[in-house]
Amino acid sequence: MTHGAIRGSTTIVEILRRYPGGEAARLMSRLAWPCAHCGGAFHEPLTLAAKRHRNDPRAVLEAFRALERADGPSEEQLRLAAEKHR
Amino acid sequence: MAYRAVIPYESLDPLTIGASDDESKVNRDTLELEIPERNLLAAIYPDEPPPVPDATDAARYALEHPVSGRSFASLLAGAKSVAIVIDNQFRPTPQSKLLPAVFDALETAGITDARVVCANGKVFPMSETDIPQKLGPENLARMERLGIPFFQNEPRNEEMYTYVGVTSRGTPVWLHREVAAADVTITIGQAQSNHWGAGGGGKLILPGVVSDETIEANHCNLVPSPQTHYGAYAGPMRSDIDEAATMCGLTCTMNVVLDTHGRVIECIFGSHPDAHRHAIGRFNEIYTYEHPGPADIAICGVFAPTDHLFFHTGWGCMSADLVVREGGSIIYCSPSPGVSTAIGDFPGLALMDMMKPYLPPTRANYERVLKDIHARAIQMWAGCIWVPIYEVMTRKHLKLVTIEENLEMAADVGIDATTSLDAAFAEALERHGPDAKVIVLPFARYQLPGNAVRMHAEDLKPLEEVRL
Repeated sequence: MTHGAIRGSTTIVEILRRYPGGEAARLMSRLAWPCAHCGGAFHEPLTLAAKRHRNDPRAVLEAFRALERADGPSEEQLRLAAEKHR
Repeated sequence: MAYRAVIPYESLDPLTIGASDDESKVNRDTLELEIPERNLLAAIYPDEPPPVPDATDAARYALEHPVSGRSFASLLAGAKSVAIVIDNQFRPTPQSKLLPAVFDALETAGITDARVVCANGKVFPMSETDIPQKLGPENLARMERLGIPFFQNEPRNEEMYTYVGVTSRGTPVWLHREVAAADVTITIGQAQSNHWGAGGGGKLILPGVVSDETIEANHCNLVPSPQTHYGAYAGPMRSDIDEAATMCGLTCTMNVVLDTHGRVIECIFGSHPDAHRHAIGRFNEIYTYEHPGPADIAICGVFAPTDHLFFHTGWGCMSADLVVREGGSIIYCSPSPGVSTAIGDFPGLALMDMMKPYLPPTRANYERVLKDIHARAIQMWAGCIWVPIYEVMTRKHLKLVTIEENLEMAADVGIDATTSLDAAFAEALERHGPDAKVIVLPFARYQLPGNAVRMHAEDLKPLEEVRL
């Protein structure tokens, strides 16, 4: 099964299913998101989830896209994605 | 002389669900610990009544013999449409055995407009493998034959909700439209005292079948209240829930009291909220105990019907809190093997990682938690469990005894964990001295001191009067 690039409109559950080994769930955990267990995951696009959790949507998108790489997102990408904006 | 404590250390196969009655998927392990007699304050083992011989028969009898209000058949006589609200995969209520009695009544009354709605709140919905385990294949076939659809809560799908009003505590209520459309609504759930006051009854309405905003408003405002605690039926959170359920037209509730093996001890039906209150009274008769005075160390066990995640087994931290002195230790024995779901496998400490940004647990960091709750930076559908555990951790030392597989995540989150009860106990004795007083709560998630029970508003008292 092939997937295109993760987009802002990709839902949380679609992202979780791309990574059955739990990589996406662990990234959500690093962002302090309980999405992996949430009923909203089935409808929530990544951009909206980022806004709801007050993270920068662009930084979050880049962190999730970096899951495609063997070494995953860098510490700097994780820091930027996890930063909360008031 | 030493007392030999046997501590339940039970778990469920990650592929099964709480309502499963397949004993082959239950690990009924125990841990044993020798406690010097001079240290033992109390070891509380409840005297559980025998289970009913047949849960379906018990449900049928209950529907015909309400503890308050009219029988189910009488309620259906004047109704055109019915909503049956059931609990989800993380609750052990044996819906597959209770639903036949309800469907029999619907068929006898000639009701053709009915629906079953799963009260999953904001938790992900049941999967295609969960649904037959929870409802039972025969019930699903019967629903298809009768044209009864099955819905699950979709808290972020605004089109699914109808505005009802605002509770006296300020919670705006949007109700699932399939429930709102019914003349008669019945909830079927488990009655137990817990750290929100009590579970079951109206709680299947809020948070079960209401919108995201309703759930978060109730939980953000009322979970942190000191009057929301084990046994506080009259506390603000449970009172808000029952008021919202009344506003939503909840007609009646069928409530099971389950023993620590997940078997039905009693099935109690009647009008909302009286029948649920009655069931909680019965639960409390079985699982409350006389407060023995403050302990330095509590040793808690867990039992299988809900033991996938510490997130669900760990509620007993809040009941043990009521009998452990400030600065004391809670040793919580929970294997927590994790759970497999339609969207992946989750480790035993899943969702406890939400507290990681606020560790170590201090009063100053708890203030940050409160600020983030009210800034809506913390999702309280999950925070309604980890935040109370965190609050206990700011005042008492929590030591988790668990399986090897959970240690790495525990260390990463900042939860003190070990695989050895003996080591945890020795460490606690070292901390509290040779005269430390120990209480054993083998089924902590169910057990509560009797002086914590607040069934009526006039019972509300400062929590300090519970802790002694």
